[in-house]
Amino acid sequence: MKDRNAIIESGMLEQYFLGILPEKDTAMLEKMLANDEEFVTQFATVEQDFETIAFENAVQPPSLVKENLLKAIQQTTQQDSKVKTLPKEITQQSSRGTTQTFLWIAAGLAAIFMISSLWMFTQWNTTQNDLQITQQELQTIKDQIDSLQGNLKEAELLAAVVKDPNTLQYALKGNDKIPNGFATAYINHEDKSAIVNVEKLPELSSDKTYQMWADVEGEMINMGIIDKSKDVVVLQYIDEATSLNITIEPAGGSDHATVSQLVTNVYL
Amino acid sequence: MNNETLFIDRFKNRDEAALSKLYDKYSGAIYGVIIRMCRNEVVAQEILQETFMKAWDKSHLYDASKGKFYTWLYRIARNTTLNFLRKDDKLIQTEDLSVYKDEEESVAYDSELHIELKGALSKLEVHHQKALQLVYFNGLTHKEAHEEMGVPLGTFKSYVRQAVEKLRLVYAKELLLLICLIELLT
Repeated sequence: MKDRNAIIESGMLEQYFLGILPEKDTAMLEKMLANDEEFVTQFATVEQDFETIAFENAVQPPSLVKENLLKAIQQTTQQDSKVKTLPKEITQQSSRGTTQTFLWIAAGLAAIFMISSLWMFTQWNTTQNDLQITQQELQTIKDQIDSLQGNLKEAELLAAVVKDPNTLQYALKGNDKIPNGFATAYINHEDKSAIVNVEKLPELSSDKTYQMWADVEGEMINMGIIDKSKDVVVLQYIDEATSLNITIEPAGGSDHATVSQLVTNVYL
Repeated sequence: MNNETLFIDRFKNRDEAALSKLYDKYSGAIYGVIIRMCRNEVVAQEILQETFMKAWDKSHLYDASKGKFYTWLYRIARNTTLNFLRKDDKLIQTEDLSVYKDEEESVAYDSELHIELKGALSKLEVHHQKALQLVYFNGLTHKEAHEEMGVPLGTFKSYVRQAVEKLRLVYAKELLLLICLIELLT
């Protein structure tokens, strides 16, 4: 940093007064002015010199300039006060407006959310119902397929048995207990199989069932319960049977044939 | 607190009466600078009004610890005038620092203006007078002014410095005479 006298002699104080001192020197000078009383006094002298020159060379401006200046300032002040007043209203209006806008947006969003939720709920319910229906239909189809498969197996089985030249066919005509009842038994002694077509046997109450027996040397041997849900039922083949017999038994079948409930039989 | 400090404080608080008082005090001195820079009464009056308007608008920025009120006002006036002269393409400051609308048209400056230098400054040697006039009343930088005077920058700076010193002596003598006169009268 330059010393005080060097700065004074360089004319920097005059340049500073005139406002033409470079920025870097201005910063340095202002720092010195803030810390050096003697320097402040020197600058005050320069200021006073230039002020005196100006006052000695003063030129009085026309009074109109002052009038215009004061008018302009009053206008500015009025505009400022308007501007100062307005912002409150504007701010209030604008903040009110902003709040209202936000409320409208929020209400709109809430409405959209509610509508979309309702729509989605409805869709969900519909979809669930559709799904239930579909599942039911699927189950029905499955059942149908199972049934068809069962029927197919029965048909195939029946076809296979009937087609076999070793199969013997026996007609079992219903007695007076089932006057219109009729069953056909297919026995193959070669491969020891027995099936019966029970399609024409009349339906029984749910607490009863048809059961088939083989008479072997006077004893009724259980060949199995006849499942009426099927048209063709595979039964147990019994060697040396002399006759085939169908009885009506309690649901679930019996260990011993209820002969009084014999509905049909055929001798082999 | 003297009256001026009081007015300046009130001026900073946007007191129009204080502005009026300060205008009354400083407008002549500031107008004297402006009119010598632009050499056109109408323009000078506009610039003077603008100078005080700027001072009014920026009154809160005035810091008495950094300089006198006149110094602050002078800098505003000087910058406003220079900006005006730079902006107005038609006004060209020529070698003799007269201001023309343009080279073809009639002269914009008012030849009837009686703005010759007065007071102590007018009593200085011509080169000192010219040096101060260039930087103080014509708004030139030292670099511009030394070229204008056709002397080296260092020489020009010493002219300014010497001129200020001489003025100070003149003012000191005048002050001494004034004190003696007051003494004699009392």
